[in-house]
Amino acid sequence: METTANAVADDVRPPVVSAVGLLKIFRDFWNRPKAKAVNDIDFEVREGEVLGLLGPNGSGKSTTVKMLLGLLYPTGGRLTVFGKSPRDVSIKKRIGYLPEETYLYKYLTAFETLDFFASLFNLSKADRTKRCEQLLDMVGLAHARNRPVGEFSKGMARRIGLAQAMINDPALLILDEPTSGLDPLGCREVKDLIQMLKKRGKTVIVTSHLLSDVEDVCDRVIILYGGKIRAQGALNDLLSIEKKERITTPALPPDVMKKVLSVLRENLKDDEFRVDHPRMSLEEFFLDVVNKARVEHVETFGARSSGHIAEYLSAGSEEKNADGALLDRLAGRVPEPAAPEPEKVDAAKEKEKAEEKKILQSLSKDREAEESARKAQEELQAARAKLSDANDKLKDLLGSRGKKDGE
Amino acid sequence: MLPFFAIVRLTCRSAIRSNVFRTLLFLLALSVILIPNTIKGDGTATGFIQLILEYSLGFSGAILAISVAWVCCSEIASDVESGQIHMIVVKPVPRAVVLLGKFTGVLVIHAVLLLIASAAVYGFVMYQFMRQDFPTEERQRVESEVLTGRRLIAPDKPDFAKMAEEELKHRLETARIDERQAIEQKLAGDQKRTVLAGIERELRRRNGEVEPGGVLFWKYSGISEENPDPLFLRYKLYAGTDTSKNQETTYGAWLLRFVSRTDRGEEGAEPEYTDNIVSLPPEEIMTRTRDEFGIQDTILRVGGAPDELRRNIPPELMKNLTDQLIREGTFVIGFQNYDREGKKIILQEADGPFLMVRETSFLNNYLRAVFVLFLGIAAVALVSSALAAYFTLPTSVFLAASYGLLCVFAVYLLGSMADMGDDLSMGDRMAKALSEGVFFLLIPVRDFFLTTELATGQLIDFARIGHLIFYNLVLRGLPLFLAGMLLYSRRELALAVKR
Repeated sequence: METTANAVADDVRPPVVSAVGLLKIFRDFWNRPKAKAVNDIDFEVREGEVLGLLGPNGSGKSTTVKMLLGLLYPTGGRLTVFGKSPRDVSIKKRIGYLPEETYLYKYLTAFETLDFFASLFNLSKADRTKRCEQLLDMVGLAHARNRPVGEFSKGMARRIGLAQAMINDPALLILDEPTSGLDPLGCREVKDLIQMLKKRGKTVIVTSHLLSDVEDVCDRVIILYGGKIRAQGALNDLLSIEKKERITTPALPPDVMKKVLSVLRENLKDDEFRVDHPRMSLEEFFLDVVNKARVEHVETFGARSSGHIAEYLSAGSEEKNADGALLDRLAGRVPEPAAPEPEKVDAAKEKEKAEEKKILQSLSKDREAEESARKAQEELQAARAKLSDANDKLKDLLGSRGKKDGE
Repeated sequence: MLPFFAIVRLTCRSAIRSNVFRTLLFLLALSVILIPNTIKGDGTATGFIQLILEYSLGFSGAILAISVAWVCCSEIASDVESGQIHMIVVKPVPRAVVLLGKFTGVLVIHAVLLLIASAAVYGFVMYQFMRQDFPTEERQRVESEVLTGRRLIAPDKPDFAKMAEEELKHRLETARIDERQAIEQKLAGDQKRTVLAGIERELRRRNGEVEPGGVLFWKYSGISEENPDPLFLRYKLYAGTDTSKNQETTYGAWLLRFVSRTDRGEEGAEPEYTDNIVSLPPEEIMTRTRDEFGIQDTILRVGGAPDELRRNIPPELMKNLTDQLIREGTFVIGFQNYDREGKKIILQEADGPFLMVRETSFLNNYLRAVFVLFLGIAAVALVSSALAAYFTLPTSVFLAASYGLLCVFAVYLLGSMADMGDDLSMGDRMAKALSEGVFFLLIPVRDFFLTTELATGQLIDFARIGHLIFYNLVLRGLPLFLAGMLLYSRRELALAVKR
């Protein structure tokens, strides 16, 4: 944690959010302290960072977010957003917010809802219409543009909520439980969207109970408990288990497997290692099934994302062309017609590739900051070196066992 | 301005979806459609038209005032409680604009409804007046007393303060020694103001009392003799005492005095002025009822009154009249008490008698009355918005309703306080001061319902409208609204979310 804190301190990117000694005490009717929701916390969120705010219920996540938005006022400490007080109206032009509950006006249609929120940003009629159309398309509700949002399912309402949060192409997006109420497809789309925003240098703060969501998209997390920060840092730093190794190979023939096992037994006790088949995650499996259904044009009245990121959101992205293929995938575009049922080994490969991509992404993200980039490069090289060592060892082992067997 | 208009539009759409609003809308439709179609009146055309005007427009205004209070509270407070406001205040719109937008939205929708309701009532009144087969005389009466806009001219007021001073001096001069000592003791004890105020009240009361067989005159200045329209005299009498609640009949005669001018025909010669007094025949008059009669315009014209209206005036009365120097264009009304039971007849200061001169058309006057109703609705909206800006929906509705009730009864309470006199104990004085302080904050909503004035053809003049705007909207409503706006801008909105 110390090293991460230093890394953050050395970061040259300007802080979008800065909290020092932030304190929030809720009081009762007689002004007596009732609960210390946020207890003297310090943190910074840098430009272009995706930060996850984690914690059990009542840990102070939502209170912190509401203070960032000026909906609650700090009892003590200093809190700035874009260098100004969160109560300053001018900074709100650059903020997008998706609340935990999507509070929409039920009698407005999807289009009218977005148009209303766009009006609050003083956008011209033409601009409003263009953005609303693109956002509706992006969140998969173009077909329901004229339906009152009161008729929407929770997930559809959530999608409209997400669209309104991005109507102003915000520099800071605050998402309170963004995947709550969404189907796995929607969750994936939200995560892809966050990734895309990150690539455009946007800052995103996400609070979620779904740790896998946070793990998938966040560069850094802050874990709150009882209003205090219990841990914070880059995910790689926090989650790597230095004292354990994992080796993934294609399915091994029985004799090779025997050799591997015997090598392992020679060097380790039985309960110190485990060999099993890697599994697809349920999310991966689900998305695969749904994508196939899409390709077959099965009718649905729910959300039908076109997979297109709104043009005004993707415009200006320097990396758009270079990473076009990757963006397309992140945006959840319909994949090529499905190949024959992928084998488990292929899935494992995919996962491995995804892991590598993540590392690459984290590297490309930080390339502006030389220090972090160098550090990440070192990490990658170290990881590769470890992988290579392990591979060599395995080869040696397998080779010697093969000889033994031959003998 | 775009965010402001977006909020106004949204509020209008939201308001018409409220069930309470829809119920009130239904009642509004009933008051516009049902009341005019079920009213029978007193059998006269005037009574019929007056009732339609008074009840239909009055009910519509009352329903809209209740509705605006509810919708303001609901639109502002419930948005905060449900958390919907979070989606708006995190956008670059100052909270003051949000509150102002909501207030305007509610007001706009009620203004539209008032316009529709008042147009319907006006259309119905004119339709009934055209369609019904009223006698010509009745029709003329409606046209001259109801479907018109007549300025109310109050009699010139004597300088009561000066009169009180003189009366006090007179009392001191004529009092017995012991009485004089008592008065002087009071004056020495810094109670001169109280003593003078007491005398002034007494003089004011006496100013409207006509002893049996006696005559009382009121002088009206500034009436143009070229005024082509007929004059009307409006009055209300009490017999014996003005506190009696029983209606009874009394007798009396109205006297009219005016100066007429006759040109002598010679160039440069001064015209000849003649003092004319006309007594109308003594008549039976119902007490405690507002009544009016038309004074023939001919008597104002050069040449004097028609002979048939002239009556013999008692010599002592004639002397009194000629003692009064009347300048050109000044009008004097007198009343002679012929009460058969020898009761004195009282005309309160608030009851005139007033002269009425036609000044504008009925439509013009009607539009003014509707505008004043709208101001009343705006006043209710200002107060309700201020309350809803800080309190929860039930609390703000309760407070708005309490405020409204206090406003309705404030007139009566203030009236009873005025009757308390000045000789009060310390406790009573404190209570009175406190009550006056509280009442100063209240907007007397009843003052905006000028349907009675409209129905009796009384002009709603701009001075009155200006007074209502300044004293009620600017001095009372606006500060409350601004205080509400300040609280709304400063409060922690996330604390108010109801789970």
